[in-house]
Amino acid sequence: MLTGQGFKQVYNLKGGIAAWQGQPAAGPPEIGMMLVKGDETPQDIICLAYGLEEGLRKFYTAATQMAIEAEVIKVLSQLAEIEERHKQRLFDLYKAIDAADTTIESFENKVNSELMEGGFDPDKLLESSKPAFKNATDVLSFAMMLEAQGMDLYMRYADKSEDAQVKEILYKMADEEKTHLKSLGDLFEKL
Amino acid sequence: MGIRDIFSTFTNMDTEHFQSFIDTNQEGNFTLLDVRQPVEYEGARIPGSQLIPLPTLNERLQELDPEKPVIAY
Repeated sequence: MLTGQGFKQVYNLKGGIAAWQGQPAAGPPEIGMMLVKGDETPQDIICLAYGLEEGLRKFYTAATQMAIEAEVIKVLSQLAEIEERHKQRLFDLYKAIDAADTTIESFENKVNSELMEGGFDPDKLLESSKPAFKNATDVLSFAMMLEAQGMDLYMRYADKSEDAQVKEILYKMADEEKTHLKSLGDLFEKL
Repeated sequence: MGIRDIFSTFTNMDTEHFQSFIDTNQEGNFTLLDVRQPVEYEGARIPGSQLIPLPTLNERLQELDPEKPVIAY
């Protein structure tokens, strides 16, 4: 059907979802979508992404306070640092496309970080995940789940967005989440 | 009607090729198409997949970019 409709390259994933060896995403297509209408500007979407990344950084930082094992604390701290770098890249991108001479303070005033990557509430998530954080493997598995949800969310935002530049930004964010997932997978292998 | 009937001319992509494709192609340059039922999509999906259940695919083809490679499952 697709090839007959002008689609140039069509592949069937042999084995279906079972062929996917990475972290899956889950939940209904609407999850987290209340944050976007589809008509956001590139600046709006960067602010949104920054808030999501900051929410996750807060989550990882707070989780270090609850962890007991040194190895777990180290992994959580690394994850928080990764999110901090992610935020910096977003702010750089904002400055590159916004004509105004923006400071980090004025930029952060526009950001809402109540929800984090994947559309979760950080406080509720922290509370519910506490019992699961027994060792570094648990923490990494959880982080991979969050990153997979985040990537999936950015792609759904991209699908909904009408602006080509916004789509590009969101694809880039999803791509970075994909890289995070790969790094976490590598870290997981080393444990 | 199964997936084979819908994608009359397609190439199978195995796990190894798929992983390599995902690793080397930027998000947004291809479409991961989930043609299963919504309940299956909600249970577990490949991150970044677009859900268009098989029975509705014909009427929703315009949602897909024919210029991008499509990987369906």
